[in-house]
Amino acid sequence: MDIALSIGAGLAKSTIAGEVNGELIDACDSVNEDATVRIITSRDAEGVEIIRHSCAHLVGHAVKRLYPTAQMVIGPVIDDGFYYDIAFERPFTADDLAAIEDRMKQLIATHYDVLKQVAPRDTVIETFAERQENYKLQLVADMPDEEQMALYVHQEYVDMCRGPHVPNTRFLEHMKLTKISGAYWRGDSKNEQLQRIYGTAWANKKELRAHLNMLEEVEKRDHRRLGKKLDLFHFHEEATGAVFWHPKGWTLFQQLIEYMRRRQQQSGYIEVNTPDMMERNLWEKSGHWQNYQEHMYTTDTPDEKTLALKPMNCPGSVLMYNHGLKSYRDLPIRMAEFGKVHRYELSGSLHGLLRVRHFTQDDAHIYCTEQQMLDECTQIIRLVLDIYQQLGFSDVSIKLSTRPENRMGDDQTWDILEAALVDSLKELALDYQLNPGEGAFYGPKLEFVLRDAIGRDWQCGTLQVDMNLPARFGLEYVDDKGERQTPVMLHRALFGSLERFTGILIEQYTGKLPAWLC
Amino acid sequence: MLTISETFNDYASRLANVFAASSLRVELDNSNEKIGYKIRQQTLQKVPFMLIVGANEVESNCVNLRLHNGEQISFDDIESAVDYLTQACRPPDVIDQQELIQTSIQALKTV
Repeated sequence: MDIALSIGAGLAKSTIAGEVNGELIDACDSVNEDATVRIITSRDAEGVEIIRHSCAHLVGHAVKRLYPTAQMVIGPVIDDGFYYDIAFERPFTADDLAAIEDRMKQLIATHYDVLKQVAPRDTVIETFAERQENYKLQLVADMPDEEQMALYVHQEYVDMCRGPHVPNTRFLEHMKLTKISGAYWRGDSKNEQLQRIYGTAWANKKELRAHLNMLEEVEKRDHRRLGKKLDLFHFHEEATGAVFWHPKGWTLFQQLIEYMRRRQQQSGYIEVNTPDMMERNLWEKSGHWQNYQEHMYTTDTPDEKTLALKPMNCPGSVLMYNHGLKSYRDLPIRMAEFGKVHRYELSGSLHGLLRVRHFTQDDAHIYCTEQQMLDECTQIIRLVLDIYQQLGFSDVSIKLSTRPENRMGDDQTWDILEAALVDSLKELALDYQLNPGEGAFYGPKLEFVLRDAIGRDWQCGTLQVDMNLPARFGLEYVDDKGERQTPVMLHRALFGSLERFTGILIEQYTGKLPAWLC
Repeated sequence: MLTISETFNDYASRLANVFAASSLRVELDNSNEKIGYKIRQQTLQKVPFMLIVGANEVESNCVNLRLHNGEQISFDDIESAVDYLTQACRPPDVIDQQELIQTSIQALKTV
C-alpha cells in the first residue's frame, strides 16, 4: 500500500493487492527486499478474482449475523463468481438468499477495513473452536504442516484463507447472490449435505449488468424449461438420467438422425446395428470390465451368464468387423451405428439432456490401412465442420489431446497416430489448441467445440485414432501381397450424444427451431 | 391448421390430409376456441407456420399462412401453398444438394 501511495494517492485508493516477484500478496503486506512489484487494481483479472474471493468471506460475515448457528465450510472463487458451502439446520429459502444479500450490501456500504492477521496454529484452532466452526477445525487438521495461517477479520467475523483479500469492503459493491444448491462435505455424496450459496461479483456496474443479462439469457434458453413449455420431453424419478421423449421432441430427435443418416450415406458410410447387451468376456477383452465397470449396468441371467448393457459401441463394432475375412480392397470400411449407450453417472452430475445416463451416439468406426488414415481423418473433419455449419454453428474450435502418461502402445505408434491428426488439420489449414497428455489411453483425439449464439462453448464431436483395440481383438485384413495386416480404427461421433445435441439446439434457437426440425 | 369456427372442421381435416400426404407434419386444432386464442397458443408453442381456415378459404380454396413472427402470406390455391411449405421445410443438406444440382444443370447449359 505504501508503494502505491508513493506513486499516487489515486492509485493507493484503488489498490486491491500486490504482486511481488510473481506472487500475490495483500495490500497490507510489506516488501522487505528489492523486488519486481505490480499493483493490482480492479482493472486486473487478479483484482476481480480477489474481489470475488472477498465476497465469499462477506457471505460468511452476513450469514453468521443472520443465522449465528450456521457453520461456514469453504468459499472459493469460480468462473465469474464465488460460492460458500454452509452447514445449517434448515434449508435456505429464496427469502434467506435475499436477506443475506441485503445484509452484505449493508456491510459493504459501511466501508469497513478487512484486517489480516497471521496467527500461529494454536491461535487459529482456538479461534475456530471458540466460534464452534467445526468444519474450519477439520480444515486446519487437514494441514498439519502449517505452523501459522492467515486469518482475515471482517469486524466480528473471522475466516481463514491463503488470500490475498481486498483491504476494504468498498471494493465489493458490484456483487449479487445468484442461487442456492446442495453440496457435500469434501464433495463426497457419502458425507453430510451442505448448502451452497452462489454469487457473482465484478469490478464495475457495467460488467455486473452485462453478466446478469447473460444469466437471464441463459435462463430464458434453458432447455429443461423449454422442454416442459414446448412439450418436448420429460424426466421421471423412476428412470433417473433417462429421457421420456414426447411426440414433438421425438420428431426433432428423429429428424437429426435422418439428417445424419443422409450425410453419412453420401459420405460412403454403411449403417449397422449391434446388440445392446453383451457378455462379460467381451467387456473383459475390450478392457471395459477392468477400467470402466463403475459406469456399467450389468445383470446375471438364469443360465448363469453375466451380461452388460453397452457403455460404448466399439466392442460391438469390432465383432461386426471380425465377421468374415476382409481384404485390402474392402477398406476403408466406414461402419456407422446409432447406438444407445448406458453409463451409470452420479445423480449429482446429471443435467437435463446435456448429461444423462442413457444416450444415443451417432457413432461410427472406420477401419482402414495406415496409408488411408490421413485421408480418412481429413474427410471426417471436413464433414463435421460442414454439418455444424448447416445446423447454424459456424464458430467451431478444435482441441488436440495427445499421449497421456498411462498409455498402451509404443512411442513409434503414438508418433504415427498423432501425426495423422496434426497433418489432417494442417491440410485443412485449421487452427487447434493442444491439450498435452489428455488423450485416451489407446490413442490421441480431436474434440470439436461449438460456440453458441450467446458465446457458450459446447464440446460435441470427437475423432480418435486407435491401433490398440484392433490389435487387442486380433482384427485383420489381407493386403495386396496376401499377408495378414492389422487395420487402424478411427472412432468418431459428430453430434456426440443425440440427446445432448438436441438440448444444445433447443438452447441455441431458444426453442424456436428451424421448420425442418419441428 | 387452425379453424375459425367448427363449421369449417370437415374442410380443414380434408385439407390437413393433403398436407400430410405431401410429407408435411400438420396438426389440426379444430377446438371450439376463438381464433385469436388458438393463434396465441400456437405462437407460444413456437409453431413455425399456422394455416387459418375460415369462410374465405372454404369458398375459394385459397390458403392463408401465418408465420411465427406474425407475417402473413396468401396463396390463391392449395398447390402453391404445399409447394411453398415443402420448400420452407427442407433440411439444410437437401437445400445444398438441390442448389448443387441447379448449378450443375446451369453449367451444362452453358457448355
